[in-house]
Amino acid sequence: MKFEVTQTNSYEYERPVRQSINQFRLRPLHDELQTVHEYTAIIDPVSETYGHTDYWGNYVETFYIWSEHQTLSIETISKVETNSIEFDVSNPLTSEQRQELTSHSFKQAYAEYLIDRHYTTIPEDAMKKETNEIWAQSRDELDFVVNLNEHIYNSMEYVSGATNVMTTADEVLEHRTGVCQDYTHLMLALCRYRGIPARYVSGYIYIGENSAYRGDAATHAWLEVKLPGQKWFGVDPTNNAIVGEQHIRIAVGRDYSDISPLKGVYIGGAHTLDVSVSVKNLEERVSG
Amino acid sequence: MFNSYKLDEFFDEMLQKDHLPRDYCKPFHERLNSVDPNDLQERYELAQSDFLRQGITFTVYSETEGTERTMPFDFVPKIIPPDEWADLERGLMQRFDALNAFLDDVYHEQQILKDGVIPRDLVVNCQHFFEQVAGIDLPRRQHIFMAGIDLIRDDSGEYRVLEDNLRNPSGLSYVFQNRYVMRKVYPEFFNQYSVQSLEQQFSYLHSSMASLAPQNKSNPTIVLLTPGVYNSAYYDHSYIAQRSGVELVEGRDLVVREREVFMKTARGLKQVDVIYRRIDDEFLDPLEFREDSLLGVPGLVDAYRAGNISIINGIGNGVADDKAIYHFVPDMIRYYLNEEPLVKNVDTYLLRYEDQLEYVLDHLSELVVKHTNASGGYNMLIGPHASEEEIEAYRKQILKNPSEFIAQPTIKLSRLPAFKGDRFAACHVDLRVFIFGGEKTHVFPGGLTRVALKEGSLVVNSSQGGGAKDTWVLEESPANV
Repeated sequence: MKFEVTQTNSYEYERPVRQSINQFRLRPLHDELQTVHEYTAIIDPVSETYGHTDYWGNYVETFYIWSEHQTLSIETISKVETNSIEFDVSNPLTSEQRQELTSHSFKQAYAEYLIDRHYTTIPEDAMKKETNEIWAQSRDELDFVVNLNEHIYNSMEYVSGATNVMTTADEVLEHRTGVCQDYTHLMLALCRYRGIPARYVSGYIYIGENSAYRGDAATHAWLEVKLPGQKWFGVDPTNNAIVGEQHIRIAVGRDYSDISPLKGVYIGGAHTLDVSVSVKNLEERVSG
Repeated sequence: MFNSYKLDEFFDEMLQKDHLPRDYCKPFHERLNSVDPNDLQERYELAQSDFLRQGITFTVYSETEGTERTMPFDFVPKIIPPDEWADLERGLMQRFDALNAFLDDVYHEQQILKDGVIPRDLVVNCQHFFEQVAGIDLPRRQHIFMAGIDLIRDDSGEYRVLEDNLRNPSGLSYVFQNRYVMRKVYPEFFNQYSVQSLEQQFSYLHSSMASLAPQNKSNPTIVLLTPGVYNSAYYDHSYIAQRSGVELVEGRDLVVREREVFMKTARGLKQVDVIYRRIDDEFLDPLEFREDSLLGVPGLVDAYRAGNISIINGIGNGVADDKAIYHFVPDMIRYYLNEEPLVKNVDTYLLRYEDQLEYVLDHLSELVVKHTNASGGYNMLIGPHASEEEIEAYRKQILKNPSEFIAQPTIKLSRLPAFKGDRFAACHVDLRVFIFGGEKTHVFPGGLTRVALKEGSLVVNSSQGGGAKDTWVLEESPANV
């Protein structure tokens, strides 16, 4: 599917600020799952952006505003085409795949995606308790991921504002409320606990007219797991969905701290940030 | 003065088993025997007060608050004969080059990890691995500007590396001060010895920093970035800045503008090319590391990425001096240089491996166990000196997360005489050697000899009651005798 995504981030400062340095990760990933046809970032006050690709493969842009300003906006417009992926989760993993999953070399190759991080640390007992039944009833690790996805969807309540960007997986597990970031951190922790490499994905979700999908004004988060002999495979616990063409990926990392979409340092007082996103389906027929 | 001097089962750097001095120590030993003890006491006090007067102090961090102390100075130097030094120098340069190659590799291709020489998770999940700087090409591919490598000698007198310090090794200023006081208070002790002078070292230091400037810029502007006067090594920072002729700055004196770093001066902004920083990685840049850091400079990493500033030592060096990675340094030397290590490691058990963990848990009372994330002798267990309760408490700590610990046999550290008023006592010593990278690798002649002044103690760290000695590298073996 082809989309045009516009994201506008508007900062307003209490009083004029200066010497502002900002970094953002907003350009969608360009890889085998999706193609970026066009991408522009417009900064106001006008500033040059300096780009680099980070360790995880995400595109990062940095810009500087030296002089005083009281508002700042970063607008990005992306034309992205997502490829449909045929992934049959009813296909069991082979015994070779399952063996490789527990092998030393596999664990070494994906070491970053198997550890506890600040956002994903939960006491072992709690993780065991939460996953024991599902683990026992699942056909294999792939089936476990699908079942866990459903379990998290069912056992959590989607509540905006109950958590914030600092909320960690153990808090989520305790209160069982949150938004996509929280669903994702929780599931990352539980997959890793069972030895399945998992990474955080930030992106957009296309919510069509009749869609039951939920996401916070179209900016979204989910996760991808790595099974031997397969590409990273996306699941979306907030929607109990297998990731498909309606998910547009921006960045991947171990947890939220690696993909932080916007951050900045400046001299001056407090600010407010307003983010708006629109995802337009370019293939949809325009009626009338 | 030497009547009650004991050799025990340790290697004594001055006396042989028969209590006769080693050849190169003879003239010095004779002097110690002939000098009047009262005179020594008087001069000893003079030396200590000299340190105080110059304000050479360091801060001891404790659970309550920092206190400033001087490092006690003992006038019996560590003397290193020329051939012994030449061997050491070769071995240390080899180690330094391999460590540097390792750093460049893990922040680029990670070939050594792909080849399985070092477990990948130890590196990429190390708390000192900063993926923010992966892919950045440093001037001369030099990640290490200054290394402080800690050496000990075992019971056969063989030198071994105890620890590599590749982040912010401190102590260089003490080396100069020790020599200064030694020359001033004990001038005649140098008679009959031709000791390598330290006079040239600051010009080496400066040219080493300058050679690491971006794009080989000539006459670069160099600054030393300090966390400030409350840092335990502030004396070291101000001394080095002053003597090597570079500006001493704090984070608030620097600013990054369009990927270039500037220093605020009375005449406006002045571009900076090289930052010898003595601030830890995490605090360097609130944009990329700890947001709450007030010590650092926002944008510094972006300027580094752009190749507009040289930051020395490089960001992320801690992944190479990690206590678990240490175990693999000999493998690095073989891998990158295709050579056999000239200076050995101390045997190390990695508790992440089940069999080694089992062995260590069975032999806690004989081993030294260290937490991989602690430094300077903090939070370690010295088995032979620990009580049953201490051992059991430490065992519980280990079992919580074994992979965070390493263990080593208790090394019978070598000893040297130390002055105790009416006599000399044999006290354990180690040696920190400083090595500079740049246009070429340079080993500072001598280094900081640290001594555990508490008799029987094995802990030489200044924070735990250790003192210092002057270190003499001889140009040639002493004439007479």
